[in-house]
Amino acid sequence: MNRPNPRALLRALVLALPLLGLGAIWAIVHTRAQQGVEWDVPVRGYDPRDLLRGHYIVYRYDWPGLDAGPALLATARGLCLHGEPPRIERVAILEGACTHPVRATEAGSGLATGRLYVPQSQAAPLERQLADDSRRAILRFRLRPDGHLMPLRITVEPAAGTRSPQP
Amino acid sequence: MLQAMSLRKLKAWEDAGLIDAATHARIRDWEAAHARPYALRAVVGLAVLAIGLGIVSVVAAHWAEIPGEIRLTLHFTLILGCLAALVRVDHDALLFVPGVLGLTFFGHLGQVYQTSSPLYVPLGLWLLLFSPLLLARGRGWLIVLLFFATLVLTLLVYAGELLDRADPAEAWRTGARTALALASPALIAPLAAWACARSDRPGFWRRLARLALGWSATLASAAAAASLASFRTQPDPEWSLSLAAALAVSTTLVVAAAVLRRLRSDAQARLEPTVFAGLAVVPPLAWLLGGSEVVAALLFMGLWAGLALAALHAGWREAFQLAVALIALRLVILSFELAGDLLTSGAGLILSGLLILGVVWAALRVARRFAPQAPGRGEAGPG
Repeated sequence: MNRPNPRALLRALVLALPLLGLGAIWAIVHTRAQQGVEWDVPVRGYDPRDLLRGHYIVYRYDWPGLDAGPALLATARGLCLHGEPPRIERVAILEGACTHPVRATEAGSGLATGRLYVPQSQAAPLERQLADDSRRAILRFRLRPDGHLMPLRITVEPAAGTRSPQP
Repeated sequence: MLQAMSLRKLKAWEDAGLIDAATHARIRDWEAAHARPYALRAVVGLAVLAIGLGIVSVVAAHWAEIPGEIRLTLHFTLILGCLAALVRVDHDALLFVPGVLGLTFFGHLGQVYQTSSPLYVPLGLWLLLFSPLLLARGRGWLIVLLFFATLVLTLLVYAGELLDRADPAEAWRTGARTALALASPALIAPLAAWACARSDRPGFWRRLARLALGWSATLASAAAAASLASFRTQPDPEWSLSLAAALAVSTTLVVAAAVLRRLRSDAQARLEPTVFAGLAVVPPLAWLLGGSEVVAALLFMGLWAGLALAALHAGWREAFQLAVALIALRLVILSFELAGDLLTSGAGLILSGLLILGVVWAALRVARRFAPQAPGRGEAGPG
């Protein structure tokens, strides 16, 4: 007779549960992160320090063609992006059917502001560039089919229309 | 090795005739045989700490250059290592470290994949994955507190979220759901009583039962404190929300009491269900009678007088002293509530100072004189 002792089995199961669970959650998060299409949106921001988590950039979206104040954005269910990825032509408050919806997260509004973790070595230069009016920051984000927005990176380019004069 | 001071003391005791030479020698031999290399341990501990801090700072300095997946793999491997060690060894530290690493793993995932979710989601998932392990293997306060504090934190965050998103039209449901969430740790008490009788770690379950009782007493105290306001006479969202909350907390405590009563039939163990049933009375009473300072104070003091009585019965010294201290504190607060203008005149200040001194003196006398002796420190308690 070589039947496993039920107590020992339970003991092993209890030990394995955290590993299996964390592994499964990681796999799900990883898979989800690969879905969706990438878009570009102008942002403005600043860089508060957070000692525990390293540096991150908190930014405000400049949604093209959206005339809505922060109050409206805070209560909106979501936004609808129009255009061909990655270029957004215009953005409207989400009402009814939409091909590229951005849905508000439950954690907060998520439509007016967001945050992106940036490497320590890039945080300070990026903050300076964001404060520079002659440049504008573009956030590349991935929009999942379920409407979840995942920020990827911020690039800074000379603002359109304003040729920075050579000193 | 005995330290110089102890040696001097031994010599002095021998000279004073308190101990004889043989005893002196025996003590010295015993101490020599049971010496612990504290200095060596401290040095080794210091070295291990330095190496650990070094690794942490090296990793932190190159955080950005390490790809997210590798960092997560490292994090995961650390958890795996601790859990693998638990196959052979039984130690609370080997539970605590992967527990905390598991909590931070959720934050790390969020950082690498730039995701966010309401805080109660990762906390709840952690409880789901880790509490079977903690409850099955934990022994001391470290694990009891890790489990219970995370549970309460999760429920507090969840309750806050429920209230934030509350629909005024559904005040009943919101009140009941919030209160059920907050009161549910009370149900740990019957679970602990059940497990205590079957486990080879009764101390662990007794500690957990104490925390469940402590949390239930906190909720009842909060209800008593809230009875300063009269929710009974308020307009609707508050009226139904508060009544639903009071009834839900009360029901949960009654269920805990009933299950405890069924589980334990011996006379001494009757006390615990009685305490829970007593706590269950407070929230509805606070809702019904609330609206004056005197009622709020009487409810609070009555609640803790009952708990003091129960502690006396159970021989739980610390709980008795805590109850007396809280009653005294509430009495002082009440005196200020009733005569707040005392503080504006010199004679009033003197009077209130005397009152505080009197209350503190009385409380100290009661707490010292009537407190039960702590039998077998740390293991006393209801049940």
